[in-house]
Amino acid sequence: MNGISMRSTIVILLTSAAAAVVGLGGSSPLPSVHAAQDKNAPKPTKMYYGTLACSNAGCHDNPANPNQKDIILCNYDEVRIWSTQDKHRIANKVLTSERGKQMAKLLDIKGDITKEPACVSCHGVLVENEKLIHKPSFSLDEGVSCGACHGMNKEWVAKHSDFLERETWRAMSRKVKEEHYGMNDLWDPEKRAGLCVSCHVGNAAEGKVVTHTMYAAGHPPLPGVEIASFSDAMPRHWKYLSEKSPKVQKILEYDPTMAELERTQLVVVSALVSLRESMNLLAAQADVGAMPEKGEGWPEFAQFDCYACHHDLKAKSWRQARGYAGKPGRPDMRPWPTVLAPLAILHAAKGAPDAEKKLAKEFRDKAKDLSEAFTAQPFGEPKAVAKAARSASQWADGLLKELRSVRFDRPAAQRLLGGMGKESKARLLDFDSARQFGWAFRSIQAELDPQSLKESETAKLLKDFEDQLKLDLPKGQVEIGNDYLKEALDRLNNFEPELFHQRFDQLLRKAERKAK
Amino acid sequence: MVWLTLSWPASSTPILLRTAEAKQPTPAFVGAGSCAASACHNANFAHGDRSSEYTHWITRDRHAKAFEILFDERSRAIQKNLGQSTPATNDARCLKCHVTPEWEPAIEVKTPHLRSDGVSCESCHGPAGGWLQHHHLASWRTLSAAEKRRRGMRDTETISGRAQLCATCHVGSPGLEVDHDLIAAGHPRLAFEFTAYHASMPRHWPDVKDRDAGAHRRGRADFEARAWVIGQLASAHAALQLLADRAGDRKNSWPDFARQDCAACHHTLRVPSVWQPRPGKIGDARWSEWELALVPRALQACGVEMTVLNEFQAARASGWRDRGKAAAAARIAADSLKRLLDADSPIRDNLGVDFVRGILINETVSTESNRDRAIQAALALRALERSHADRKLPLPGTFRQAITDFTRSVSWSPELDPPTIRRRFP
Repeated sequence: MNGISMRSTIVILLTSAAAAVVGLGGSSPLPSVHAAQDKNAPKPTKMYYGTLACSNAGCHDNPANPNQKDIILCNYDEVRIWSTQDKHRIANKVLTSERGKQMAKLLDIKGDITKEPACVSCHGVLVENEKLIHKPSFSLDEGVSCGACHGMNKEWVAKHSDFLERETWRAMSRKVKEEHYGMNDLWDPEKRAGLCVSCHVGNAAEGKVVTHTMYAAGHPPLPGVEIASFSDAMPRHWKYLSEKSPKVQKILEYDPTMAELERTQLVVVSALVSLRESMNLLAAQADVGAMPEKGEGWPEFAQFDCYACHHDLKAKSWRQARGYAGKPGRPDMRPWPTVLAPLAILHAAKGAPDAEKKLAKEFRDKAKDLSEAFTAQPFGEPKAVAKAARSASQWADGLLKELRSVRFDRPAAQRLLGGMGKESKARLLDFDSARQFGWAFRSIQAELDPQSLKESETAKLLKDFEDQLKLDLPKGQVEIGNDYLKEALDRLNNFEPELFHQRFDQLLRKAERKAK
Repeated sequence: MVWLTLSWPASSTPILLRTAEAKQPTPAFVGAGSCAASACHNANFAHGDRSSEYTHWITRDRHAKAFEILFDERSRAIQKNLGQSTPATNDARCLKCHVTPEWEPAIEVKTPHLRSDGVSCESCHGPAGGWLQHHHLASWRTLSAAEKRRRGMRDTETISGRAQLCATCHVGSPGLEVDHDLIAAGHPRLAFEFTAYHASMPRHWPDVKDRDAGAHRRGRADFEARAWVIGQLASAHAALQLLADRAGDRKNSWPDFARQDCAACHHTLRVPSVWQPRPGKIGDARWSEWELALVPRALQACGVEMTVLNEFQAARASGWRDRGKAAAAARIAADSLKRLLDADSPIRDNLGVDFVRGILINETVSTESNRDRAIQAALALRALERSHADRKLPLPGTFRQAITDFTRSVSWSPELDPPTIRRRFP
């Protein structure tokens, strides 16, 4: 799918660690440490490093170094995996591909496109002050490199790599490492997902916005994201906490006795984070539209359901047969960021019907407000859209906070699969939304019962899914805008919601029988 | 020539081409049954025979089924999608085109069967209450056209009058509008081209009246060419009127996508994309080319002064985001077109081979990236071909071949694309 491919090429950029934390919701659920009160504690200062700063001295590109096993806590191979397999590595290079050149021409970008802020904010590292570049290592050409996600800050880079300081460093909490040393707390699934979606959904405050004009110029459509699936496709250069050694788990404040299903957690958390961040972006753009003097900013078509308009016209239309939630002929918002929210509700309610009902009603009300704002007039009433979007974002953020105290154990995961059946049947799903369910199912089931995915009947259904939805994300450092995008768009254009529902139902029933 | 009012009273039922002096209460409808006496219009004679108009309409013309179709599954689905509890068969919004633009409950008091007749005699010829008793008498023939109109009989004789009557529903007019909500609910999109519709309608009047100057005073051998030009102006006028009305009144929802190019949005996303290399503002909706694309050619055929063309182009170039500007530009252009239509015979000369060549060379744009324009060009070429045949001036074989090729190419024939046609064309 084009969107997917785009994602993989998009670079995540944090303009500053602080900015990353703002808007990503609350902090780690775990108790923080005293350094927070220490007046002498450092504040992170910006420095743009390149990957050489991470790979030298036998550190993150040195998998053959057995001597350090007990000294270094990582895998030694992070830079190697990233630099040879991860598409984030080519995020800046793709800007000069044929597609990139076409876009530059159509968008009338005169200067160096690899430095164009509107592009580089996601396709690499947006350097805001050239003086802060770490000259021995930095190269724009590296795309979305280490610091883009982990934090472009001097203090933690220096501290964590200083062997003499290692005990002090390890004794610090994740919170302190982040707040005072500028190392982003990517162990927190909510923060990690927030970082991913800041590009893969967008973030207006950070200038990470794909507009419809960019799409029309050739930018592949941004698809939905499900962070567990997308992380695996990078591929991951890290382990889940549950996969790490007990020693590391202790340092990273992870309790193995809780037996959290981390992928399942990531599916649910990233669904809510996607909802929150897409609502924030929507609100920011609708705000501009609500100011008459800036009326050109709205409608921003990129905020609308792509396939409400971009479909061939047919005499026998499934849309017309399905009917419309609001008024016919008025494009609604993109539905995918909302479709997995009911899973989060189900999880937060911990199986209590009353709690579930209450949360479900809240969510329905938010969705109703949004839908009404979108269909009050063609392209929506921007003020009402902004208000409804902001309210939905706050709701998602509140629910994320609730989720921090709810365990993701096996019964919970089983409940989520059950909920998926009910939710997927609630309405006809569009292509992007169907993929959300497809990815979520695969991620949860892979953790709950990995063997079952290989059984012949399930494997056959999954293969069928792949033919419909192209859930397998592209591997390797190739530009997705060509072959992959073409195939994904073919799937999209031939998508038959009825067929998807039928197959998904079979898949879930099979999983359910097996669980019993 | 009677001066026809342009302005539609905003609050009242839109009235078809109501004459300025006819500001009396709407004359009463009498129903098609009143025309159907066998001695009058219900004889069993050949096609186009003077006394068999009703017979032909009721047996062959789809207009007679216009009401019946409101019972069908699609109509029910449309109402459901629109959230309307009133059935289509009882909804004024539907009945104004599927019966008559003047439809309102009151007109059925005396003619309870009016709606079941669909688009019947009076829907086009005008409510007959004011002329039924008179029009078969010899004295009726002595009346001027203006006088007949004053009594409620509409102008179906001039091409301009006829084309504007059709456009009232087939393009739309304020209050009689197939907007995008309705299309999305399931109503077919309107795509009216006068000559094509005229040619396919089972005509209940003699063709020679239109085409043969020897047979009738209004007959013209170049009827088809004139009909194409006037049809273009009438359609564009109706479309711009709708646009001006929709955009101009802030009570109306805006934008109405029905006034915009369907294919600008409704295309699947593909690699490679035929859309992306195009020049101009990208990623934005634009006005529908259907009613507007070939109007400059029609205006050229009229030999009008540049100002009209400029006004028209300004309306076409205006963006949709500023509705006030769009409304103003559309209003100016619509008024100018209306003045031309009222003159009824604006064509400079018989449209000859050069005109056909101009369309073939300049309008056969990529059928894929602008299919509306391409289909309009194909329909124009077909009309001009018929016109040449009527005038016994057959087009050269290369022209006919090129027209056939092009018409085929707009029907998605894979091997015939416009560049191929241009290469073949001398």
